[in-house]
Amino acid sequence: MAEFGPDSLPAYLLVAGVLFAAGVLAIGTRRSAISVLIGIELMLNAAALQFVAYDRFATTPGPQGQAAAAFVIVVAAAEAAVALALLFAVYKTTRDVDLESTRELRS
Amino acid sequence: MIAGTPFTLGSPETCLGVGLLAVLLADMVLARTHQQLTAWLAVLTAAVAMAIAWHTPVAGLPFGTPARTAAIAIIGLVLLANTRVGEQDHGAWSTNVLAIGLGASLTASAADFVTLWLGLELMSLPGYVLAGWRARDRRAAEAGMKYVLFGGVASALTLFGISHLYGLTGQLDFGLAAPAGPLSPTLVAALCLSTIGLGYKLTVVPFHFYAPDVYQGAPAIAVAAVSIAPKIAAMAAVVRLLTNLPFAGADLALAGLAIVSLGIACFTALVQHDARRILAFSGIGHAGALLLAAACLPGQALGATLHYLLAYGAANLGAFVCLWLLEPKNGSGALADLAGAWTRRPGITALLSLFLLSLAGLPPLAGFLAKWNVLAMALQRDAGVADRPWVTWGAVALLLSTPIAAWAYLQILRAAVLALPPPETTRESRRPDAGAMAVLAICAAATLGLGLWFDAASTLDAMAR
Repeated sequence: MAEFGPDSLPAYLLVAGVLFAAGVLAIGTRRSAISVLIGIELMLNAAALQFVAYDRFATTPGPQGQAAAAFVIVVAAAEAAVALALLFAVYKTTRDVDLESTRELRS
Repeated sequence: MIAGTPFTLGSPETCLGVGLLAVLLADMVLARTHQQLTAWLAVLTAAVAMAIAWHTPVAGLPFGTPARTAAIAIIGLVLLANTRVGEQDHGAWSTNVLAIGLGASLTASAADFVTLWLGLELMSLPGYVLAGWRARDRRAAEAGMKYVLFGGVASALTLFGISHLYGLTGQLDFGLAAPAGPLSPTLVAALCLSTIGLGYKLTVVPFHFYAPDVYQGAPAIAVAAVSIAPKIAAMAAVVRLLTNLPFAGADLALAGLAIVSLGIACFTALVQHDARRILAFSGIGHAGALLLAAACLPGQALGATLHYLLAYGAANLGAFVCLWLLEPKNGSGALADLAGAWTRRPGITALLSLFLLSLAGLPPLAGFLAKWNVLAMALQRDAGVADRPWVTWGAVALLLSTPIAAWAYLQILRAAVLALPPPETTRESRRPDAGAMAVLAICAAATLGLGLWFDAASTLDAMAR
């Protein structure tokens, strides 16, 4: 763990961190709901990558991290399907999925 | 290692899963004339799952057993309230509601972080679908989109926190191998991230911002399905987390969140012009009161928390079913649309008043006793209880916010009872059927009964300990 190489824990964590930051950036700056959805997927995958990386470099590698990653993959797919269906429903009514202009609900 | 609840053939999750698939299958193979069967099959599934949950203790968490049973009971009542097939794709509706029950059951019995996350997702995904149920309605679609995007971000942050917890401790159990001494700052940061999902389900400030929009845009009966049972289940998970991983400052964090939630909810509710938005802010305030009860753990707080959950669940479910029956069919909770409810349906309007007054905390209804129990707990000054200034301030916040929130509930009542109906009363509302009336009767009985059960906190505490 000490040295930083292509096959070391810090390298994997760096990649996961970059993925996570990209996801946060997409959510924070983009107005399109599709981009926000992509950001969410990036964050979920960053977490999945961390699970397997921590698992691989653990002193006693167990199935827990890998099982968690498998769950993440399945749930992320289900979430993307539901989210796309709802975005499609919005698109059918307003011809747009812009988060700034979709503001019918307010106090 | 904490013993999790084994997933056996006799667990309520199995029952709900099998029933869910049966409903889905029946919806596909049955002829249109027999579709009514799917609705009753779903109600039956929830009833059986509730009975199983009552007789199957949650391993390692006695609080989980009644909480899980209550969550499934709420799901069953939501299904019973809406058994009229034909209005919409009823099989899909029942399947999604049952799936929320499955997720709630899993959340309430989770003993590790991945199961917790899975349970939260299993409650959320069908909830997103239900929120956007009337796909051609622009507001419902917007509610669904906001719900799924905010929910997705909360879920991703939670999972990122959990993956760090795993990396830091090599554990996924709630106890995290019970690190001796104070927790390291990185571990606390990861822990905070991993509890965002729970805060989101409980609609605690600052994870509450989606609730008013979703409650306003989604159909009222769908709001009843996505708001109450998940809150009960998330509270069970909070209690388990606090029991297995006690850390100094938990009472400060919980009481702080409670004060902010109570304060923001009561003032924001005053300026709303939509009954469901008012109920959304009411839910945020009640979540604050629940966290205040959890901040008093241990002690008799388990009983008080459980009583509060039951009182809140019964009154809130009743209120949403009443609103669903009183609102015009194309669904808007605007206060102006409630005008004349008293002349159209006096019985249901009277029941709505009962539920709202209970939520406001008027004696002798359940909401009053629930608030009283939490206040008594927070202000307790026994020899064995350490000094908790933040919990005391939380009690003050609860006390001060109650009359302000009550004013907001009175706005709904004023619109429903006193306001004159518009001259062109062409708006058609739903005709209450036997199922919906039975649900309202059960909720009203629970609201009255829980309010007169004076030793509820100690009795329920003995059960949940």
